[in-house]
Amino acid sequence: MATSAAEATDARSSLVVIRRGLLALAAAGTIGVALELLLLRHWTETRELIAWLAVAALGVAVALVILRPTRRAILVARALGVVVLVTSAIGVFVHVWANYDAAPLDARYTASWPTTAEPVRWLLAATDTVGPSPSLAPLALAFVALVLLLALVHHQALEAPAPSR
Amino acid sequence: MPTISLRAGLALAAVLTLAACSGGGGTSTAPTASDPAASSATAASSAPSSAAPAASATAKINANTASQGELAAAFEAAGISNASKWAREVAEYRPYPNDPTWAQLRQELAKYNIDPTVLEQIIALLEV
Repeated sequence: MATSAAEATDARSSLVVIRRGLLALAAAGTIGVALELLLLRHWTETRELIAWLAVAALGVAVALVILRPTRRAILVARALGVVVLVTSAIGVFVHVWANYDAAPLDARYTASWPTTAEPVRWLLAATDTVGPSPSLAPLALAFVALVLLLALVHHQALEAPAPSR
Repeated sequence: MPTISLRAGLALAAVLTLAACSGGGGTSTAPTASDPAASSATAASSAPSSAAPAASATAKINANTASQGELAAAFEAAGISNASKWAREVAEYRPYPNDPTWAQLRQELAKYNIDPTVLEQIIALLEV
């Protein structure tokens, strides 16, 4: 009986360490993505600001979990994480589309682009063969969001019964 | 024996000649892309004779203050293909410093793998 209680305590403390580690990774990832966007001057077009909104959402979510880990805060952080996941997927499409749109400007493809088959066009855009945008770069946001969501699995604030009204 | 050697030599020479002629295609991963590149490069090399005088004859346009439409119209008049797209890109990376080398614009447009001739045509139309 005492052994199982000790094991439960060990498991709980391990969970706390893992959760804190994941939160630290999420915080570091958020800062890292923000720095990368800063270095890339990711604000020359209005649509580029979407990435900053996603970074802000991640920052708010991480701050909520660290500073005010209430049930409501955890639920909000989860929702923000899911929103960032969706935003990241949209970001990938926007990057691929930007490459597709810029393809005729590429000296190697200016002449052939009008006659290039549509699937080949999208393949060239998705693989960064044409265009200036790194197609999969927005997935960095998805990675940070997933780390954050993983840190919130079975969070103790959610395990506790909801406050009665 | 000398006849055989001569034939072997001729065959070897023919093989080497064929290999040399097709050597450029060996490194290409996208034949559809490399062929247009060659044709566009050829077109680009012949372009300055007709496009450059048109550019120089056209009045320069301020890269920092001109509207996107004005930029597009100027590029179009100079015979630059995809004029509206280039106008959008030029407008996107404003403001430009008073740099006679246009280093900032060159750096930004290089991301699109711009034809050097087109780049010079665009720069020839701009001022700060």
